Amino acid sequence: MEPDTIERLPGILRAYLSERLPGVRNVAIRNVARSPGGNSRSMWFFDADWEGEAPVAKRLMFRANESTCFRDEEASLEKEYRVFRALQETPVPVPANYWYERDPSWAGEDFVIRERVEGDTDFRGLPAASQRAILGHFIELLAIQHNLDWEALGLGFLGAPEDGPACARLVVERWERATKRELLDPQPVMTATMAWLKRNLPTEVDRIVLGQGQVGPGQLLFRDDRVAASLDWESAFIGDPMSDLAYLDFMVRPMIGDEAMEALIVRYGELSGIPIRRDNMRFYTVFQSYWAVSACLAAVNRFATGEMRKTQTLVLGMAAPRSFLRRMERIVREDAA
Amino acid sequence: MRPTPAEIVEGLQYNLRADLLPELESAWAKRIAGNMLWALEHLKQRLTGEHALAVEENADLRAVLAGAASARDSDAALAEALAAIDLAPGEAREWPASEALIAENARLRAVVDAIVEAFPAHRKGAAEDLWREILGYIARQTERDGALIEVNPD
Repeated sequence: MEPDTIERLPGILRAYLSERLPGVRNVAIRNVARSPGGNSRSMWFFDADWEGEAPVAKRLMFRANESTCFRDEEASLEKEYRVFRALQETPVPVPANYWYERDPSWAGEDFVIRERVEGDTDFRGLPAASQRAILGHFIELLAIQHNLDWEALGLGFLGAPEDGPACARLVVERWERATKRELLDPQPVMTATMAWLKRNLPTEVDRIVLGQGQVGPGQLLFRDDRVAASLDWESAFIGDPMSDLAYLDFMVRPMIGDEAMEALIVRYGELSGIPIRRDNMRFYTVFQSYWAVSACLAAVNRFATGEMRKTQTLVLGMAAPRSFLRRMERIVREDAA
Repeated sequence: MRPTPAEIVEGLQYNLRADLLPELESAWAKRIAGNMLWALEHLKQRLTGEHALAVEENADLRAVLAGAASARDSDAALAEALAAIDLAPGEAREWPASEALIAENARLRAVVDAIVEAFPAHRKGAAEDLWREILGYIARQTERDGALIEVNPD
């Protein structure tokens, strides 16, 4: 967002809420503060107060469309808002999303206003017992999420694969296109990994589900050793549930160890009724490395071309993908051995 | 000229660490200052190490292309897959200017990338040897890029 818009943000929020909540008077905005969390979209926390009644929380968040790493083609703010709205009617805990605003006369770009849920995000800093308890709750929620009737929830707009084999093929095609669009320098490791992915596309998918894309710690708010809210739905998709499970495995196994991770996977299978397909999980573990680098390429592109010349864009684009690039290099080399 | 660009960057790093960061109160501002420290360290690594790494990359890419030309001559399937790719490594020369060297490396890297994209899925003999050579290059290239990027000023 432009600096003058940021400076005017309290006034913008006051005017916006006054218009959106016609039954209330004297809207006041306080404690506007930039959220230090998140790598993609800019967010501000704020508190609102008013006279009168409105079905809206008073601790709120403003999320701007401006994104360091995602383009609307792959992950728009509107898409995320629609997923949140659908999930509000389910047992998956998400913050209430009140408005998606596309009129640029308010803040120069699209934005969402949503409830600010109380909770912590620093999973690594927790005692092991708390980590286990939160993950135990999360795996229950993941099983529920993968059993939601996404068609009935109106989420078919995310792009439903026509059958099992199409699940992986669609995501691979989408992110190969995104990579080619964003790359400024040739990256043979990306090309070699794409060749690996195309050779190893899973064909057996037991159920086509609503996936989150990025799941688990880092995307969760927790409180009292329970998941308070699942925060990040911009990468939501309809496809193979093993994708989410692979992401969780990749992120969490190094923190909790093999035994605890395997217990979570077994528990997920019991609760969801979905068979665990290890080959699919391996495919999605590699795919997610490719995806993470591809998303970061958009940040490099935006910085280098002057579209978003900010150091947070540079750091995300260059530093964040390093471990994924090393991982991809290792996988294609092992595959050839 | 002294101070060198790298020395000036060190001065900026000092001011950020010693004078600005301790005065910052919001978590967001501290995060951005940390990002700026990373960018300054990356810049210093680029100033001091990028040229030598690019010279190494240039030699590496030229060797891969020479290997590809040789393998293509002895493998019919590979020859067919790589038929549309110009494997000429370009002129061998000294590289006093980084910009021209980096542009030449980007050109050579695009050729290697095209080879990877066109490479037959089923390979043996010379093609298999070339594939391993390419993977070796990719490993070294990942290391070289990592040397400039995996910096941690704090």
